[in-house]
Amino acid sequence: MLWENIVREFGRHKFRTALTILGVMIGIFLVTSVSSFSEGIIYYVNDQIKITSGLITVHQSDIAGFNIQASEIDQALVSDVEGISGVEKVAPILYANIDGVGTAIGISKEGENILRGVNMEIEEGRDFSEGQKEVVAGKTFADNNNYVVGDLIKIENTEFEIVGILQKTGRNDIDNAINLDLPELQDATGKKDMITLMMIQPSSPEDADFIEQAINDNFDEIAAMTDKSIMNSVNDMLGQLNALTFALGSIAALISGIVIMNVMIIAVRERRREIGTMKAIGATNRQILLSILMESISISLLGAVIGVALSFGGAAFINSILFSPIALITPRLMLQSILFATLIGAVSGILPARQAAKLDPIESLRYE
Amino acid sequence: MKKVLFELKDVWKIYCMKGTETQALRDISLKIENGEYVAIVGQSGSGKSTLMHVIGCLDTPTRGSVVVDGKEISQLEDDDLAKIRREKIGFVFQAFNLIDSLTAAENVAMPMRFNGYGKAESIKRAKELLKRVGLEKRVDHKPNQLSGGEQQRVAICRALANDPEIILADEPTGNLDSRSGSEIIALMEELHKSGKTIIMVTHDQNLAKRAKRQIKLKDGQIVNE
Ligand SMILES: Nc1ncnc2c1ncn2[C@@H]1O[C@H](COP(=O)(O)OP(=O)(O)O)[C@@H](O)[C@H]1O
Ligand SMILES: [Mg+2]
Repeated sequence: MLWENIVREFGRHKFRTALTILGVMIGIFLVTSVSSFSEGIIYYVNDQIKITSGLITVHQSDIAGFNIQASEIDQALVSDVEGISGVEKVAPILYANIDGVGTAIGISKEGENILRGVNMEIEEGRDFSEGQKEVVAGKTFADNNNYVVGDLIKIENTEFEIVGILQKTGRNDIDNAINLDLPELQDATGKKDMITLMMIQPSSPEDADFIEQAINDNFDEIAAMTDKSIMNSVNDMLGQLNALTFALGSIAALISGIVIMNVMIIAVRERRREIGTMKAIGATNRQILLSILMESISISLLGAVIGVALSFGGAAFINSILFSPIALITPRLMLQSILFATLIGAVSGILPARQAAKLDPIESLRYE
Repeated sequence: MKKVLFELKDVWKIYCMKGTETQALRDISLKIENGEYVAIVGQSGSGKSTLMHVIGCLDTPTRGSVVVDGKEISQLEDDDLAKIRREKIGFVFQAFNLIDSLTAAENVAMPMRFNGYGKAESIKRAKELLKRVGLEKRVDHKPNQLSGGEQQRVAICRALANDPEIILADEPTGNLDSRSGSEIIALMEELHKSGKTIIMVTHDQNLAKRAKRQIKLKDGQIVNE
């Protein structure tokens, strides 16, 4: 393959090549940015499901937007929920945003037992004790603030001792938070008898649907979701996002495909003589075909690489609108976008490449 | 050991364009052995280039048989023809036909690259060839930075890249001033002495006379031998 030739051809028509690359870049940028949203949701939900697997989440029935942490429930409802048949345990949880600290999670010992089956192990120190001014810090939170076991931390006006540090879980909402006894957090923040959510463990997995139904039918102020129904609603949303991604992707593919094909057809026409010469000195049709195809794929790939790089900015923008780090550009998504661009380059290069391969060397040599 | 490199029997080439027929080659039969130095002469339009293209496996005859190095070319696939052009034949054109975007060395390296050699290896040999024709200081120049004579020397190096037995040159001095032209002819004669078979189209009688053998074409036919 004559890479040197492809590189030089780009140099010969800098402006034209740049415009074509720009076309691909915009398309790939849009597609990747939008996909980063669904990608982040998939990533987040898969992670979430690991922890809430088999549990039922109960939150305030009319919370605004995505942010489940905005939910507020009266703790008195916990005993009502405990009375529903099939309910084994209920874990009330309070999320609080503390000035100078960040997210604090108030949870009962009981709740910890339900939730902490999954990879939430203590790395250093020990767990907090009930009724004590003690917290367990997430790994990122401790590292970022240079906290070690034994340090003191202020929540509103109360001092707490860091008695333990969790292992890193990879989930920002856990790693970058502190955990403490629920009544202690309620006291310190003045949110007496208030919680954010309840996690319910059913006596057996078959009871989950019934419990969900019973709560949704009998309580106005709270709503319940099994992990299955969370998955379903997420899948609904992903379906809509995918339709948008697909539409954008098709438009991007069509536009950049046409732009690339146009440029390559012009390039082949301009280089008739050179292509004829190459054939005369021994290039096979296949070599000519491949070199034009490679040129077209290279243009597309260059555009894609820049587009993907810019889509990190796109994802950051989406996150800044949503106020939460949902959009995520994973290696898988990058690879997907790059492969998509390769395909666009290949498909739009086929016609010009075949034109080039079919050129009659004599025709292109004769008229000088 | 003499062997027949080219054997043409009753070769016709007829072009049809917009209803009018042009008989570019009419009943050509000839043999060329290895080591020969042949000049093809004749007026413009007499069929010299067409004959070169047929001999050089770039074109197939309308009728008749062309055997190149023992193979009947009408029975070969495009790829086999490309292989013959790449390995057995070096072409030199009147208009040089270098690739503008590539340097002299890259141009010379091209046939080797098509033959599957790596870039470094090809460029190394290309530079050696360019040195042999006195262009060692021009290896990184683009064609538009070279004079006509220099460009044609680069083209000759390119023709020699895969060390072919045969050099086909179609009016290699046609676009050159007489001094550059005689340099090119001297180069051709040197190649002939080193054992290459040279077939050269020219309409310069003085050049033709220096060849060991002349084939004169008129209206697509051989008129002398
Ligand atoms: N592709 C073609 N289509 C039609 N006529 C052609 C074509 N190529 C060559 N000819 C004609 O064939 C004749 C021989 O051409 P050519 O071999 O190029 O002559 P020379 O090289 O001796 O000048 C000319 O009359 C030319 O016009
Ligand atoms: Mg001619």
